[in-house]
Amino acid sequence: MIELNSVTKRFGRTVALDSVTLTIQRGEFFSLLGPSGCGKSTLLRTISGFEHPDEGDIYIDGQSMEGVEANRRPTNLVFQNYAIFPHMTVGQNVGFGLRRKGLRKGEIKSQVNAALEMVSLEGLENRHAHTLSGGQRQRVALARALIMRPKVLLLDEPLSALDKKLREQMQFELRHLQRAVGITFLLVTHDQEEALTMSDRIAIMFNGRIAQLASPEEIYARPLSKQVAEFIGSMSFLRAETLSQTIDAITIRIEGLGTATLPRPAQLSAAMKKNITVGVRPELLTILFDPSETFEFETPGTITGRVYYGDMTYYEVRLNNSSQVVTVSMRNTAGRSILSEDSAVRIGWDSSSITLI
Amino acid sequence: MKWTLKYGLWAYVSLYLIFLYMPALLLPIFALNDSRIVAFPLQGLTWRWFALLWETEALHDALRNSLIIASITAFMSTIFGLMAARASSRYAFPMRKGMAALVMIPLVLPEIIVGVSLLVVVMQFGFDLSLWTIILGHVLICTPFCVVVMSTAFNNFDRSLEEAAFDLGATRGATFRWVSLPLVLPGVIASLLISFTISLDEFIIAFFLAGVDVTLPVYIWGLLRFPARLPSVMALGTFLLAASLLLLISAEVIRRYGARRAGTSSNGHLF
Repeated sequence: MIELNSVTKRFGRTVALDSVTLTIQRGEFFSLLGPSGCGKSTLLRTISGFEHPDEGDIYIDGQSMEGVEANRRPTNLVFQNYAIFPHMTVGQNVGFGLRRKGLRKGEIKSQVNAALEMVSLEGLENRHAHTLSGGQRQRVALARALIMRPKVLLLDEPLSALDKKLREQMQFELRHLQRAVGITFLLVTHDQEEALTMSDRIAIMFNGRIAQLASPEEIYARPLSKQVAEFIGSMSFLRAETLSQTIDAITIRIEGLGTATLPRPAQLSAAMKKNITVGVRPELLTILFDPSETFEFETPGTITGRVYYGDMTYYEVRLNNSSQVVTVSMRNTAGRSILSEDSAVRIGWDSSSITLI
Repeated sequence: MKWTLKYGLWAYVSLYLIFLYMPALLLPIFALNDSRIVAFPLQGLTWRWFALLWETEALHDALRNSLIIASITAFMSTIFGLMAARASSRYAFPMRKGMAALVMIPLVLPEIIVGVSLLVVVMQFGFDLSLWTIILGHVLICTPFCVVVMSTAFNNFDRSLEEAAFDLGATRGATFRWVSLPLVLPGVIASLLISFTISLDEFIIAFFLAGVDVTLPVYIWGLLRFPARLPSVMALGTFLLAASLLLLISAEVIRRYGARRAGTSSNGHLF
């Protein structure tokens, strides 16, 4: 659906996009995730036609976008601040694009009503734009873009202006909406949770380049680099040493945690260095409350800090015989007490808890 | 200490207001005073100075000239201001700052210099002095004000609104017509009114560049040489005062309506 071939964009001396090559499938919910300034918004603006690449080509639905201006592209953009026309009503906002196409009044009216119904704003077409709440403005922006039936809907940080509750609700709704209309969605966000919850695939960008492109599960479980691992979810990084390696297995000793043999990840084809860093997700470690629980490995440690979240408690545990600290998340099930700081605990883990990066 | 400061400030404000508005209040008082001599004590009530205005053909011509000049000046300088402001707020081009400074210079040039030099230019090219030469001078001095007003209007609205319209398939012209223009409309009206007012009471340039057709300020200046006509100048002044008050009030009403429609707060005031 969208193909980018070595797209490069420079602003003066800064390289905003560094030879980005990317294919987005038809009907896909695709997210561009990265910190601010990583080039994700520039990429979105380049696809929508507001910026023009210095090098490389963009194809949408097989057609080159070279020399095609934003108003003639089969894309529509939902702006970060929604860009609702303040001097128009909701209905005039949503019908703006159809009116420019020269459709008849009656036709516009029925399509506007259908679009408003789609975003659960039926009956609000005569409201003035400035009387709307933040959530309603976003729905108007969505309806205004979707009514054009674009081949690709581009969304620039669409949830960042909403409060937390509304944001979580809209994550579900956006996903449902995308399924319902079947249009390719391309979302730009700096919020890993947004990307993980809504996307079919995610491209993580740093410094104008794509660092990893995969499904949310893949990116979360097998980050290709420490940078990606740090950006997605939380992860403790531990010093480790390679003891031995074969074509399909690697044996490592993790300082303070223990020795384990792991299958070699597909992307690590070269020989492992001696001194390496491994990552471990908080939910893949367990604090052993019950002697009957069994794990492949058990390691003693001391709690040095804790953060209570209601459903979860995050513990910071210093490993005995080491200065290394890991974060362990525990579900607060009934009857399980919250451990205090300085408690001595045993951490249970498996070789599958460890991520080689 | 505290109350002296308080009453001191009150006294200051009162004196300030008296100094500012008393002269204007004298206009209607002497315009209705039944005496050829503009001085106290007052001699009684009369409408004859207003009646005299009604009968003076030369005054009507001057007023008509002034209105024609002010209208065309307001229209032209607002168009120029709109174009300059849009260019400087929306596009990056070489010498943008220098260009903006050049546009603003007439604001600080003494009008007498503008008047004399324009007269020299007009004479060099062999044009006859007419209403058009006055309009030329007035557009020159009004445009900087229009640029300032229109720049504020353009900088106050979010650029992504124009991008959104363009993204929704509007042409550049349609984007301007349906999004940019409605949003800067209060600025356009303010710009029209300001340049209209400046042109209407401008004297020096009009004096230098006027041919046989004079403007109202030039006509009034001519009247001052005849003390007997002074009360009718007062009547004329009263008339102009009422007209400009009406103009300013309607401008503010329109501006507030525009601000409300655009959903922005109406804290800033034009005048």
